[in-house]
Amino acid sequence: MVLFTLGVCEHTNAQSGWTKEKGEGFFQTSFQTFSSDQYFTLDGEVLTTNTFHQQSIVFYGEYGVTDKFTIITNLPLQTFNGFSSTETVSGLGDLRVEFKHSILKKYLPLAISVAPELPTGKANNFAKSKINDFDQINLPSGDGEFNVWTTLASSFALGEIPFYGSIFGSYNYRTQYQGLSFTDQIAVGAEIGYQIAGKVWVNVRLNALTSVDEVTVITDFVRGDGTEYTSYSFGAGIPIVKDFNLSLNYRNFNDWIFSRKNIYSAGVLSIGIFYNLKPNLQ
Amino acid sequence: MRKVMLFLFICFLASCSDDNEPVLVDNSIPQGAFNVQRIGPFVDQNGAGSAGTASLGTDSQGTSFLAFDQLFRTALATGTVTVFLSTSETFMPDPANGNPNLLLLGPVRNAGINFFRIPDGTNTSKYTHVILWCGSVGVPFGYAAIR
Repeated sequence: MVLFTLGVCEHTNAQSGWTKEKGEGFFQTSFQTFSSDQYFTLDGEVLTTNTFHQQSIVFYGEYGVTDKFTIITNLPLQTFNGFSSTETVSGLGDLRVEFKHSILKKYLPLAISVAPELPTGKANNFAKSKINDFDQINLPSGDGEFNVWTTLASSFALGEIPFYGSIFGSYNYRTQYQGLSFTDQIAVGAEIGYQIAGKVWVNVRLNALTSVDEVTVITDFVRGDGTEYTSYSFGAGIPIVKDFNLSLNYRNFNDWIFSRKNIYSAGVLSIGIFYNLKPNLQ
Repeated sequence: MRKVMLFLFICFLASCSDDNEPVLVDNSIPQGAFNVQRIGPFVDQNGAGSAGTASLGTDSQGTSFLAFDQLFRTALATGTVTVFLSTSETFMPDPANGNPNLLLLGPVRNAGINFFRIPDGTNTSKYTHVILWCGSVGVPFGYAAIR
């Protein structure tokens, strides 16, 4: 997981109780952009800093291996980080591979998933200052650690009305990077969605993240240790041609469930193209 | 042959001369006793974990240094932390006028004992504080009032 104190690169796709049917797939490439000078410290105090910006190109895919088993992958192909006072540095992000199993499928869809996250990204990536030649800051595109998300999710859908809802809870078992141990995390979330005029899907999501142990002193703030927040988002999936769709999403942060800590807070805009693989219909 | 032997003998004598080995003086650390004139503990800012003590003084050669004690620490894992002498606890840059309220001493790389040589001829009397500044982010990590 690359939180880099803001959560932009965190896996932002839906967690649901459904798995894909065998041979079904969902593949998306998106671009996310974010810029903020409002940093929330570990104490929740707001600091106005030099402006931090992050842009990412992210691949996300789901594929139904069987009707009850789906493999999901999320990989930031390139993440660009920088402050207004520094150069911009970029690199590959951390690869997340999720193995999702359907426990209940028919009446109350319920699924459990285990998602190891491999430290494939640049764990150290120094951006030089534009002001002093000796000044630099580490803006990694990966957090350098191996961690595992375990998620339990449930969903419902209304039969005739194109409306659905999902809730989930996740536990992130974090390890360490170069002797720096990270505290585990708990995430919860809910989502509702509705299809307008049989074409455009819209959704609203509420997510929240907290740390299991309190982190009082910054050990390495760019790796998301002690990061907490609540976020909300609005999304839409708009058909373009055949099974290709345009995805739009706006996400922002607040203190509704967990107050913001160790995070840059501002709106995150993402735009992408996704493809629905439906072999049974072809 | 005799000339060769004489030449080799002279070379031997030359190699046995009692020239002293050059003594390398590290000007970045105090020489001899360090006489502390002003001292103060670090106050942490923004959860950087800054701690320890800063002291301003002179060595036996009369050279001024700022010293951090062995308990010194701050958030060093992420970016460069720069040390300034300042006329207040607040970082007040004014580059257009030569930063009259600040004296840049350089980056701090490690926890524990650190020395920063004060440039020769600098009058430090107006500086009342030491500031730890994270320049990339633009936030202070701590300060010490030296008295």
